[in-house]
Amino acid sequence: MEGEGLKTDENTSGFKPKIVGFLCNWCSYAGADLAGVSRMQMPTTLRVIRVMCSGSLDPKFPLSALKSGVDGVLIMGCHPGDCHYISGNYEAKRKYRMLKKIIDFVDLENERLQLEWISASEGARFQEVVTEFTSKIKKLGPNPIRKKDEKAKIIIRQLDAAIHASQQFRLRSLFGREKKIMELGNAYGEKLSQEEMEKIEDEIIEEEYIRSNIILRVESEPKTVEEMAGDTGIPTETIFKHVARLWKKQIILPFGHKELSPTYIKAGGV
Amino acid sequence: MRGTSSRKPKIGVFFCTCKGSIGKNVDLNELESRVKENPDVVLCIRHDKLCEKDGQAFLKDQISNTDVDRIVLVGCTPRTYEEVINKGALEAGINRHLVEHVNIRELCEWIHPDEKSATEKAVFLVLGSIARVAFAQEVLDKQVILKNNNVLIIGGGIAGITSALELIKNEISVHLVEKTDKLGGRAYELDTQRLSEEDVILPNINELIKSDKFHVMLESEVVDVNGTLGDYKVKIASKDKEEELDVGAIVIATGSELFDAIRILEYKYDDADVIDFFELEKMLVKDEVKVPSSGEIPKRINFIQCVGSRDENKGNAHCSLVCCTYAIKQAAKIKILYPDTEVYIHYMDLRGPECGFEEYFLDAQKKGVNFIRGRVAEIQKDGKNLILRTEHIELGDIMSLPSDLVVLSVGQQASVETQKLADMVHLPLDKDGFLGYYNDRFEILDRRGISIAGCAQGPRGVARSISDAKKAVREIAGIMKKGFTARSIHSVIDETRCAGCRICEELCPYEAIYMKNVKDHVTEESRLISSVNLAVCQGCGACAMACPGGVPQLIGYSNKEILAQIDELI
Amino acid sequence: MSSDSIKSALVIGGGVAGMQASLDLANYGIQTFLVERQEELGGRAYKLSRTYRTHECKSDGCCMDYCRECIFTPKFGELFQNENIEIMLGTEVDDISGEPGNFQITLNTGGETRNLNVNAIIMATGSTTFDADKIKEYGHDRYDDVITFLELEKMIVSQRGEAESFARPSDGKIPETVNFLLCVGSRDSNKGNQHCSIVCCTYAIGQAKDLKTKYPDMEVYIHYMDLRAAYRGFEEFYKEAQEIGVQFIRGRVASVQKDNWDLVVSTENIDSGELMEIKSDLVVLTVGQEPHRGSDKIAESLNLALQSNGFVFGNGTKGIAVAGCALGPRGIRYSVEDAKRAALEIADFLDGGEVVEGN
Repeated sequence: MEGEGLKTDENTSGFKPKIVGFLCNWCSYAGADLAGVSRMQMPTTLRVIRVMCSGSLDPKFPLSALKSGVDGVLIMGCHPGDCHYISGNYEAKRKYRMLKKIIDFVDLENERLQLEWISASEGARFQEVVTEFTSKIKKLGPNPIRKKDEKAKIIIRQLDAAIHASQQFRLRSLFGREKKIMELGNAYGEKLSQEEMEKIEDEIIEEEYIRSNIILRVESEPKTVEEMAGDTGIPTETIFKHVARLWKKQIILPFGHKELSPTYIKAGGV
Repeated sequence: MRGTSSRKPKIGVFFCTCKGSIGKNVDLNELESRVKENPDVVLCIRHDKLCEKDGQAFLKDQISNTDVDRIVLVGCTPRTYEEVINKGALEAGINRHLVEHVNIRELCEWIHPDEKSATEKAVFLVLGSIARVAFAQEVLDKQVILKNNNVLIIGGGIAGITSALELIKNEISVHLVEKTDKLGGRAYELDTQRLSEEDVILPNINELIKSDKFHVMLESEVVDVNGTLGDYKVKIASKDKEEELDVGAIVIATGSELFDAIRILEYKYDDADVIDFFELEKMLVKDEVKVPSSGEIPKRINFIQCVGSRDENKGNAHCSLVCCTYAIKQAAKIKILYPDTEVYIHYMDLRGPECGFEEYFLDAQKKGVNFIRGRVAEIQKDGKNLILRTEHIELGDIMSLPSDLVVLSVGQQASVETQKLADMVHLPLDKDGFLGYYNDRFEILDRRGISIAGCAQGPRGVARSISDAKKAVREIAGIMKKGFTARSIHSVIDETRCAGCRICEELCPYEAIYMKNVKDHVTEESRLISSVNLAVCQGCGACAMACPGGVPQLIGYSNKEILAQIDELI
Repeated sequence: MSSDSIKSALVIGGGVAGMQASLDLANYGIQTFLVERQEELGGRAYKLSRTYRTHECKSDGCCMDYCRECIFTPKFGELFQNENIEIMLGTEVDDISGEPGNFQITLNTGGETRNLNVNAIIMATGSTTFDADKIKEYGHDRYDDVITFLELEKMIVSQRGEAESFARPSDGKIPETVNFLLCVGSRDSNKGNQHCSIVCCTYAIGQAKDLKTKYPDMEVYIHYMDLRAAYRGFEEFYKEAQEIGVQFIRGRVASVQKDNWDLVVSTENIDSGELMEIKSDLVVLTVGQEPHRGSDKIAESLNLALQSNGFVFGNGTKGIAVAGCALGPRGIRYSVEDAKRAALEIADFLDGGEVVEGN
């Protein structure tokens, strides 16, 4: 999916980052417009996608962008309290935290993802953010996926798992209900503090990421626990623990044996 | 309408040069030739100014002469002309959701002086949008008709009565809830109703009561509100019973209350000869002013302005806007009734929100009303006489003024009822406790079917309350009578795929998602699934990003479309 | 009037009030003719760099910095696109005759006359600003750096986006001291008009806040008589300005003179009683609004009475409505509300006024 023109660009004039920006229609896009009206010059790195609200961004989008080889992703929304849709940017902020955590598991710098608040009047700030982010990405270098080598394959696999994890019910319901759990209490009437909540979230993100790795590994062919560990670089014990859980939930099922080790496959697969 | 089935999309790309302002940094020829390489593009054409009349004609012409079924417009920011151009496209037979705008003016042309890289960026922006529009779905505007078109008006003051009359004129049934035992509020007891030089004609209450579309509940209070536009269930508690009403919309006209002057001890409101402006008003209606304790005509009257206003420590921080006008008119009228009476007005700043205020002020000065700038420190009682201790800022003096009668111009403040009600219907209050700033976002207001009229949104005079109520009601009346077109961008839920987890219901900031019972298409068992209330949905997409199954999708911003765009952008 | 005939209305004036009224009328299905004397729509409101916070009109409420673009550009688009509206720029009304329901209008576009028959009229002729040259003491006619608030707005618009804006006209330097003079031509029947223009306090405070926010070291003074702008939220607006260091001095400025290089503002501080002389790099005269020349002629032909201050009384004959600053000085928001009300009145009168949901 790489543009031919850009490839030559890269060779002749050094690294030119490609950044995808998700701009909310009401504030940041207007801010970008203002920067345009004010003729503020900035690097040509940012490719803009207009969305109605930064809170409407599925976590899948930034991850997919990184997977398709983008060097950096900028998410821009209204300042807290200014959301056109009352609270969309708070949702965006929560999702952003989750995304950062997930990217930590992937062999990519999580600085490639950034959330910024830009209001309709902050054309100058838009210019500043784009310029700074571009130079930051320049320092980080191109997205390793674009090299198309072995390492790129591993990262793609990891990103697939991250995308899969971000679609999971457990994660989504947790983040969807975070505000409610913190303000009104959970089903047991316990109110959790910010730190407690974040601790739980971090645990669940990790678990879901590992499980997604497992599920994706066994999607098309049965594999043993050792094979999965080898593929993903996750310790065998951890994999084993999660395989047991997933089996119990009937998400993966035992398939047969390879030598002496049992193999597993995704339920409904093959 | 053209067919937009799964056939290969035929995309028309229109470049607008914005009267030559696009094309200096972005090489349009290069851009066009790159775009033409895309197999889905069947038309690629340039115009000078698509937003103007001949541009629109050109657009329509081109669309009807070719077989394009989707268009991409390359030009300025969609924030300005999106609606205009979408309308034009719609007239040419292309659904508004099959139109994609690419902004290469603000995002390329104007900020990137380097021709090569600016063109390169523009190419990818355009290709991204072409990929996106290929996945766009045609969605027709939905007309929503409301279940129930009665309106509940809360508050029977001047704003409530005006609203009721206007609604009845539109043949809409009205329920009015008033907490006191009579209609009218403060406005009908005022003598000086005239706020500007226009005569304010107060609506006729009798006319209202005679109407068979008018149902009034006196001495009643709203205790609970549930539901949404077209389907509100309101619990109303009267003296002895509690009943539930079904209404389609609500007008909040709970008004404001007057500041209770007793809270400022220094002004001795408990003394018989210290009255507030409203009590004076009741005397002026009868064209006579007497000192309450002695029954004599007062020889010296002092008005104290900003009682309870503009002072957070002793009252409210806000300015009540209308008190200066009232005081000046009252003072002038006293001068007409009793030319020998000395009248003083103690003020901080003289403020009148309406045109004509200056003339009243000058007129009062001419009649001999004395204006003294400064906050009155206290009122002392010396035997039978009241003595005002005040500072005269302009002279820099401290003065003691004897007075027969003291009139406190108390301000307006948010009523407790308004605050309770705001809580029930989830409306934000401003920091003075009014519903004020909410009205600025009146689009949201329409869709929820809650309108605010009169002093509930902040202090205002009679004339303003009346015009306010008329405006508030106009919006509601239209929706009640004819229903409305749903927003073009809203959330759509695929019923067969919804698992009923309710995350979206909890997350929706507008409470636009409700659960409904459906029969499962496989098991034939009934189950709960989410459904979108189009009346309320604002199209923010919070549900789309929260759903574990990706079931709710925002029209025009679906996962497919955005992922396709991401792929093309690099 | 039979219900199947197409009803028509004339809107005189293409400022915010006239624009809003035309749009509303057109939405009610009334054929609308919008006549504007100037060559562009938008009136004075369009010349402002933005409408200040307490003045916002139809904006979506999320934007805190109401630049005119998002307000006017779509409105212009809507107006020009609407098939029920015919816009005539550079056109004046020469003559009006007839009765409610049936008016005969003579229009004049650069010498070319055109006759129209309409059923109703909305007068939205607006107001004009006081000519600051009339008050010689303030030196608007002599000194480059004495400007009116509208000229300051123009400066802001033209310098928008530049790192250093607010450069003063004479030498392009950023002023270190700025004095705002309120009530220029207002509240003084000897030198100008007797009435108060209501909105100027807010504009001056808004501009002063902008300056002070951009250049915190700048000394900004506002010379006022009473601080009036009685809008909701004004009190907070005023307090914010005080908090960031805008200085308010009560008193009428006696004169603005040039002392060698600097402008000197002489005034009496009423609160402290002292006479002050403030050196100033830029003086902004906040001029008031006054009735438009020519509007009295139109009012007369419409049988509308005039107020003592020269503005028009709103409650005239049936079939005629007045909106915006023609009724007296007011801000953008009230003008828009006025226009909506006027359009409603006319629609009611024409009885074809079906209530259409406004977007």
